[in-house]
Amino acid sequence: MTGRRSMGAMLAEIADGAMAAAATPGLRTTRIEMTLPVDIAWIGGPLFAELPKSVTRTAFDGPPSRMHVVWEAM
Amino acid sequence: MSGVNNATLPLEHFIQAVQTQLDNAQTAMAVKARNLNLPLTFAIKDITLDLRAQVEFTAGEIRIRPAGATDTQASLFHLVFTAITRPMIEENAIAFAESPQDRPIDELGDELTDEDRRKLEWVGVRTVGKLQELSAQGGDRTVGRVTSLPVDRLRRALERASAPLVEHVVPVLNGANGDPPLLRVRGRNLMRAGPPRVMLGGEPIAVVKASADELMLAPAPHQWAGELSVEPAPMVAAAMAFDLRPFVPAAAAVNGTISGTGVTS
Repeated sequence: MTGRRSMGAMLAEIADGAMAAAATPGLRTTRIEMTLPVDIAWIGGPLFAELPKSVTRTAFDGPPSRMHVVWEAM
Repeated sequence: MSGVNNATLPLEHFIQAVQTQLDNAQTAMAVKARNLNLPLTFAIKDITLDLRAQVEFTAGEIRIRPAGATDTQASLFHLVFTAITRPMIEENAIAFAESPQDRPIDELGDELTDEDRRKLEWVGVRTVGKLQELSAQGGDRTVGRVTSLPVDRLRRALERASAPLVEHVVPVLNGANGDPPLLRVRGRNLMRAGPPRVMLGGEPIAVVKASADELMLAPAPHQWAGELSVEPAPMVAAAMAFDLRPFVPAAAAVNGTISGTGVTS
């Protein structure tokens, strides 16, 4: 679990990347929608969620959860 | 996925944890936009989580544990969170509107743990006043059942929160109007069903006005110092020593004898 980011930090970073990618000249983005696999770790307290580190799952990795997030222009 | 800890936790705590993280993400985006002097153009609208978890139903509570590597048959929780608009937030905020005099539930001190306080806040009990109101209506059992808090512990915390406290005593001199000088006593829980019994050095003192957080007293000329005792109910009292003799108006000093026991604490 060490080294995992909190879900809030992960979401903010993904949003940052998505906004940057959407900032194309001549194009106005109004909505960004993503579905991502996430590894969730929670033993009470802050919720840690992180994108899987590798494409291939091993016997040591649990089944990933899935997150669908929608950002909309304000 | 974490599979180290096999303890399950209440589902509602998980939902709270997600809500907190969504707030944090939104705040982080807003802070960044402000620091870079950019308008915040995007906000999280919806988020759906398909969480693989082990589920238990114990003592009326749904408890979960995110699935570990060996949990191949874990259940799938489909959780959908949707952003609400400002009017909706304000509409809900009205229900939680708190008077500035309301004491936060944190003031219940050691009687309740942080966990207990979180549970109470989760059911909308954020102030001591709200808890007292619920208790008066017999709702403490319901709160106890919903939050899994022992009713006895809730009642003990309430008893402590309902104890009277004298914070300070100040003179109110109305010399210009010719009204007699008064003493203003500030505190909390100073009155219950009727006016409290107020004594100064073992002698009764006149109560002109009383409320839970303030008393107006009309002291006799010799009652400007001593130990004040406020008893809002039998066997429930708060005391404070004070000495306001330097503030005694000249007329009162001439008309009566000024004496006091002095301040001992």
